[in-house]
Amino acid sequence: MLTLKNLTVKAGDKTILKNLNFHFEKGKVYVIMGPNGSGKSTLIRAIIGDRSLSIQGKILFASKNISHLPPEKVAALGIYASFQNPPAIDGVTIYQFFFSFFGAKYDILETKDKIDRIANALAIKQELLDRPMNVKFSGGEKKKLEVLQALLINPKLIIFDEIDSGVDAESLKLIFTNLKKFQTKDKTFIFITHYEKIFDYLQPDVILTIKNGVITR
Amino acid sequence: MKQSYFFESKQGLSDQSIDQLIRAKNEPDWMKDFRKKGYRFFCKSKLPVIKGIDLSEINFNEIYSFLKPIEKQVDQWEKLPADIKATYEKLNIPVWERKYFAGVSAQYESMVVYEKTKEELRRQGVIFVDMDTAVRQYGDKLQTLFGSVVAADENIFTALNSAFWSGGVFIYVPKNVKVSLPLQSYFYISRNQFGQFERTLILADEGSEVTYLEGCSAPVYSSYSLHAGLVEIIVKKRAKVRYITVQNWSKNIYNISIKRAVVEENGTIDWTVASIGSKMTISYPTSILKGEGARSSHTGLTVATAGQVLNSGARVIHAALRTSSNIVSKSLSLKGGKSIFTGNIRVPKEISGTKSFMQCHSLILDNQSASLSFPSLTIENNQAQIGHEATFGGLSEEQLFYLKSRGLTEEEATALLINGYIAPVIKDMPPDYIVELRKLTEMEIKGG
Repeated sequence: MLTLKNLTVKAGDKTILKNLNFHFEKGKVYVIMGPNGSGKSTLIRAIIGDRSLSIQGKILFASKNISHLPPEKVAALGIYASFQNPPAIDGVTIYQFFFSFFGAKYDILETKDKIDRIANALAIKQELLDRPMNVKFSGGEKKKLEVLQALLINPKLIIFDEIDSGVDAESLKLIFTNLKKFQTKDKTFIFITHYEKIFDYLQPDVILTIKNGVITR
Repeated sequence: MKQSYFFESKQGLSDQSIDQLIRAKNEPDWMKDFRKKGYRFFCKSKLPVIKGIDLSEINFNEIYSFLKPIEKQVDQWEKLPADIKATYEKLNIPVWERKYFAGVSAQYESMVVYEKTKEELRRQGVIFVDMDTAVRQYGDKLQTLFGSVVAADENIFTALNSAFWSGGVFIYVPKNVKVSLPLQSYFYISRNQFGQFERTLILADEGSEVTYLEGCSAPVYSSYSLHAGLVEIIVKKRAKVRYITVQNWSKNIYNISIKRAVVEENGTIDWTVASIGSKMTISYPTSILKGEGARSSHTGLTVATAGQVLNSGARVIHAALRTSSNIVSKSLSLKGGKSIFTGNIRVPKEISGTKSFMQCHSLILDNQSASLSFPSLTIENNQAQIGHEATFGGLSEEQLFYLKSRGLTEEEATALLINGYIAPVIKDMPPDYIVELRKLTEMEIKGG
């Protein structure tokens, strides 16, 4: 599903990832472990279209090179990544965001119904949906919003960056229960973390490590 | 497009046209004198030089000061000539009247052609009437009030308006009457080389409350027109006045708008100004906090795009003890547009216990556009609590990246962020106006 081919990523003059080669298979669950500063988040940003990074080599998604596509084109192919620190969006409520996202394609009441249902399953309070995105959200609320978006956008490849940090055990359990329900044979999950406690909640097919910009099994 | 008028003044702001106007209006002597005094000062005055603003296109010799489209005002939309009625219908004015307003007046060129108030309003003793009628009907009340907040001889535009004013409204809210639905005036200019000089006066008696909303528009034509309105507001003890402006003139209107409120003990004035249209705007509503405990708040949104220079802002004079003020201004400059914020807070030495906060935020979407900010704080009393905050810049790259990574296009993400940016400053407007303002802003961004 996703292939990294001789992938080197630089931020300015600094090389963050060196000559990565890996193939992620469709329908599998991956965990990538690694200490802070090992380039985990940079890898995600390179995949989802942060074009301020300079990229050598290839990122292939379903055999198509996506390494130079802008983020909205990458997203349109079915790739979603949660942000470790999602930015606050002043004045735009969660509802407004989804209405603008689904806007022309779906009926507004249908959209609202869908949001409410999944939000409820994640124990996101109704009141939060009427608040501007990530503005004064707790760590847990931010993470849940990232999951809510993933479940509503319904991508093929889902990458979670540190989904298990800053979240209480109960919320984490709820998140993984819902993700499991969401899992199908044609969806690929990549969880990036530096905590081993993630294994209390899921059994990955493959565990990888990134260290000093190099990926190993 | 040639409009026919019931009465059309001579071209130019001249001795002949002021005489003609005074004859045509047939007003009490005090008003005739008021106009003449204004005219004398106007003749002596020159256009001001304001940083970043070019008024040289304005030629007073080619401006029509008085165009009266019909003989008599009506109180049913159906009674208006078809083209005028169609104009207001296109602007949704009759629909919004039914939905939101206790009273509506509609001005076309120099005349309030339509006016209606709900029965309940009249029972409460509220006066909402066009200024021409008011001067004849409530002359005794008005004589002492007219020009008491803004003097005719302050500057060229106060003089111009005082001499040539026509239309506008007079609002009186009796003691302790709270008008639950807002009142609205809508101003329309249909032709070029015309000057619309309406005059508005609001008197909110002790403990009363009222919300007034003014909107405006004009079609696009080859030359320019001038709008120079003047608003005087008197807020008595414990009264509360909200004044909302949605300025959407076409991009060939010079818009000079003088608005000032005097606020007595524990009274409140709230200004909300959304400034989207016009070629050039100069407007900084002023609050004079004259009574102890008086409050003012100024909320402004300015969207300047190609060919526009919009100078908006606020002025507050803390003239009594324990007065407080708040100024929030947000501007958006794009496609070569220029927005200018002028903010001014004054606390004289002997006035203590004041609180004031001024914030201005400027969002500049591209490098052809500009935003200037002239905040000034003249604080002579050393116990005043004063705060000032300003931000300048473009949209956050991280926010854009975040939204695009979810699948929104650059354009959609930009529109959403801008909607979010303007949301806090328009949130208290009637729902349809919020929708309209969002649409207008989106149109400016997309260049529609």
